[in-house]
Amino acid sequence: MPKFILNDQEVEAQPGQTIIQAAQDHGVEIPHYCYHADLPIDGNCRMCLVEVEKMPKLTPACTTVVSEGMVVRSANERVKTAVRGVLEFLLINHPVDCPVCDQAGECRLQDYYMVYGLHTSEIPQSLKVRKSKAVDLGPVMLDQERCVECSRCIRFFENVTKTGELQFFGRGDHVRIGTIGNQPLDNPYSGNVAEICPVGALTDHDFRFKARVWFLHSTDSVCGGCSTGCNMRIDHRDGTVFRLQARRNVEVNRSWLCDEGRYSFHELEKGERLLYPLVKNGNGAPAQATWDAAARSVDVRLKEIGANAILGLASPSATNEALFLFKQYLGEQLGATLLDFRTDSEDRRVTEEEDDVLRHRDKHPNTMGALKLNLASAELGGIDGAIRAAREGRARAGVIIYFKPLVRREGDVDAEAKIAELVRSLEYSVVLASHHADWQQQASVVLPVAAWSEEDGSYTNYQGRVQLAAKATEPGGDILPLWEVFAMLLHVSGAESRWMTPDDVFATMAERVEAFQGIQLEQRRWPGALATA
Amino acid sequence: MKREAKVINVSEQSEKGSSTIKDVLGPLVGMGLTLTRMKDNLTGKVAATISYPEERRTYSDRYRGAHILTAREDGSPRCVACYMCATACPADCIYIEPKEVADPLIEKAPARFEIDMLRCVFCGFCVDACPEEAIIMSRETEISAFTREETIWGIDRLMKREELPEFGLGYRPNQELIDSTLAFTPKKPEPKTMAGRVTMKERATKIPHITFEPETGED
Amino acid sequence: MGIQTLLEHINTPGYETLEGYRKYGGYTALEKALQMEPTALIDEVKASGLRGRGGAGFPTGMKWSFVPRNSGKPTYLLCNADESEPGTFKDRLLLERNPHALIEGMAIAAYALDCHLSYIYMRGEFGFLVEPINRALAEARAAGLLGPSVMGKDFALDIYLHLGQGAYICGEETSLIESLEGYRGYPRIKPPFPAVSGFLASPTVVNNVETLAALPWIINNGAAAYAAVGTEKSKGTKLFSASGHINKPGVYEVDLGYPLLDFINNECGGIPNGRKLKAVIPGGSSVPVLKAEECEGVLLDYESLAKAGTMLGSGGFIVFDDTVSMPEVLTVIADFYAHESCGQCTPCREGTGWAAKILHNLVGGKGRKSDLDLLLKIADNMEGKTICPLADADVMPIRSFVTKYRDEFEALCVS
Repeated sequence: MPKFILNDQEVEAQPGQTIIQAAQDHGVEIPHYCYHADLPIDGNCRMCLVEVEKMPKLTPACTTVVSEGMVVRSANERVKTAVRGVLEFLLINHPVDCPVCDQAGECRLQDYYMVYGLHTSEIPQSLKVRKSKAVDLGPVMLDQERCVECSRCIRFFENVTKTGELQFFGRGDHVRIGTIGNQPLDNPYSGNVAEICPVGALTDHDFRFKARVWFLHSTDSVCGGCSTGCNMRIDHRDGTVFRLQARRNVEVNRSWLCDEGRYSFHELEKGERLLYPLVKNGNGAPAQATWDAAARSVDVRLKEIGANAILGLASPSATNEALFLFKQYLGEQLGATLLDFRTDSEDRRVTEEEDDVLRHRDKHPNTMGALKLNLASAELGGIDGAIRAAREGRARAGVIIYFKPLVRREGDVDAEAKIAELVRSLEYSVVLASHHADWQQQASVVLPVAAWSEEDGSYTNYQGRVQLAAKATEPGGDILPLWEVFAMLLHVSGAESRWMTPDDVFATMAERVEAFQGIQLEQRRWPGALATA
Repeated sequence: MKREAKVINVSEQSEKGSSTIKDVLGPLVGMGLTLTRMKDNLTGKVAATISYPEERRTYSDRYRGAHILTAREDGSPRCVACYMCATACPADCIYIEPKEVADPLIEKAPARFEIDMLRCVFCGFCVDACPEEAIIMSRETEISAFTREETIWGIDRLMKREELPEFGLGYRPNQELIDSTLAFTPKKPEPKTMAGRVTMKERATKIPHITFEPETGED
Repeated sequence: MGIQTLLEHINTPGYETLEGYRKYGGYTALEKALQMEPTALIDEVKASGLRGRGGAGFPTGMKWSFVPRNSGKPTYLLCNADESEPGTFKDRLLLERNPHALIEGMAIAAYALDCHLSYIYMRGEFGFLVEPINRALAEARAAGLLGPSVMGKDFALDIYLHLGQGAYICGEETSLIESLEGYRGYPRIKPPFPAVSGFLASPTVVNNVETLAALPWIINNGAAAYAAVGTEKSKGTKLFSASGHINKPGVYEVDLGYPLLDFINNECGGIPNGRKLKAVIPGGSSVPVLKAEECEGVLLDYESLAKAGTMLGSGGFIVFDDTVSMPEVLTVIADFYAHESCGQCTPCREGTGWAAKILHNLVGGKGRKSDLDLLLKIADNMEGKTICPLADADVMPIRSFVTKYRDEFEALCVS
């Protein structure tokens, strides 16, 4: 562990760390554009110049590896003057069109200008180099004038996806990035380049002009699009999700998100939401009910039918906490044994990679959690077994959880059709869903539950990593989070139910379920805690 | 630019100007002025009040009245929907919805730009915040309406309402507009004969530019 | 002027053929070298005091000794024939008239470095030389001077010609390597130095044409004979490409340490029409300019020029008489660097272009006095802040021109 002196303080660095990384670990921010923790080092922006004793010239902190006894100064007048000089160079050909730029508010040029620059422009607008603006590259918009040529995007496509769509053209101050013939990007990870662009050169097409970033609130969460469980940040305002941004987790997704996950929140906006519990009355017509009345009627009816004839179909998109209480209620309290969650071959696909960057074939965030809770019943054998059981009359009642998949695949229609089939085959069915679907009319009771981003809870990803997906927006109507529905059912059923928050549920789960034993609540936040096999 | 405050030493000033004669005469001169004003008031020569709405005051050039959205040469709004005004607004009364513009040199324009005049506190922060000289203020004060909906002003009303030319420009960053133009032609304020009630003062027969301000030199 | 190691037969017809070259003792040095130990050969070159003739003047023997032996990777020798420094045209003459000296020198260097594959990286504008060089290489191959067994010895070597696309930056050794590998010609961050990890991540030596072509003479006549020429620290001879306001422009081989003014007045035939000397750029456009009075007593060698505040560079010797407008000269130079900046590092990419714009404004009669200080500020902000020295190459003329001829610049300012 080399020790070195950073701004008159002795600090320790990890072996092989560069100055910029070591400084970051110790809370010293060295300004930079081209350096990115998950991309190869390029050293072209020259913003991270620092003074290293015994070196005649200022040296870039991103390329210089810390060595024992090194004396580094990152904030003295010489360094500041150099950084100001580089910043001035970056801005001379910049169009300064912050008012129309979506990056404004989180732009490194703005940030560093306020810290280091504050100079008056010495170049008239007419002498600036003009390049192409508002070039539509499909998922991202390119503005060559705003570019600082840091090559982050180029290195992303070259090293992470290994596809190399973007490249530099021209040279000198006419150098610009682009695709050949301005072809749109056709890459499942394109959104990342808009996110890693430190300036407004590449901006997200989906987020274009939607909101100014300073109005947005951020909530740390986990993607619900597949079993990878990428860490992300939900940017939202007034109950609307505006965009999803990657949150760095070296163990899971580094700094990336796939486009399917990044834009998955739009799936929630599609279709009509269920807002109130609906219970079929004597005439067979669904009528709005209070939660209390609905829960009581469900509990009474299920008990009437009897444990042996009840089947439960959970969802691999539900949180660990909800699945645990689902099992507590149906399994422990009512004594049902026909519990499963599979509508497809999720248990097999959960670790199947779709590509070698991030994506997995299983498009549910919590298949692993359901497996850890032993919800895959060999006796029932997934949805096909459940339909058989219902047709044969072995199962008369069913409690079915259905979430719309956030990332769609071809098999989804079949899976949904099978659930509809199951509901049709049952004498009494309770459907817990977030969105309305026509087949729900067949159900005896439809209960509205919170969707992804509307509830706190944890998902277990393909590695068995338990991570917290947080609540960003408030659901409307009488919608309740799924765990709370089962907590309520347990309560009306006469069981002990004293959980006030999903954290309480998890604490109980960590005590009672072997796979989750010993996991502390705080661990789930970041970088996630591994459940035992 | 460095600004320095002018320092006035009050005690020095009073010592300099102090004399018995002045101490005695001062109040008497003051009393004289008071009596003169009293006579003028009683005879109706001057009045502290005016007969609004027939008579109106002329407001200062920096008066913060209802807003104006300025225009480009082609008459479209100068605004680029940057939300700076909405961000600066302490009353949260500005609502903007942007849209894409084909010209890559403009890129963005407001699809909707609304100011809730009832919520507005006329602080002028929006004018200060605007990087494009797109929003300025007028000297218009009469924004009352019969419904709440009418008090939410959209782009058209903010750009070219009929009453505006008479009131003229108010608070704005530059005396003469530099980057922008107006979607209406401001009228040179012209005195016009008042209709309706007759007042006792001759000069007050003109609206809307009856003034009692000293710089007009009429009083 | 003393010995002519490179230019002795330059005007002899047929010297560019293998036959002509051998008539005057060609390839005897290679034969001699192949009988020596590679390490002894490196020591010999070290002893000769030969320094890199491309511009930086780094001792060649020392450069070779940095190459790790037995690294498990092949070693590559690259010949830098990307001669693009304004005012320099010496390599072109060698490639045109004396190609076999280069091939022999490369074979000697390759043997010393245990290199079996070598490239000549030539600038795109030298397209007309592709055919002659390839012919010379074919001749050498046919005569067994290149190939699986060089001169019948257990040493394989082949040399290929690679044509660049005409970028000045590709004369910088790391971007030359990058370009040769097929990438955009961007300089690499050092370390690692090419001697450790260069072409295809293997140990690589990049030498200038003139450096390599000097080797046969050194081996034939001995290091001592070469070291006897020149000054204590600058040994041997150097080619100067003399141009500008002189009566006899051309390439001259000069003993290092030759007086600068004598070179102008005697070798180059003085300044035409009896006009007065105004300034000299002694080493190509990227070195600081010398005013006429500063040229007094200056010798043409690395140390003396450094003492005078300039550099020997690549030997692009440009002479200006008193009819020249220095701001216009600087504008041309600044334009060149703005055009040739590769665009990788911020200060160079933006600074070179900005400086050129300011100078165009100035020469176009729209300059302000404050522009001169702005130019110097830009120079300060560019200097020493980039990966490669191209920015510095722009800084040096800007700073020297503006400070030394400030009155001329100020006279052009309108406000």
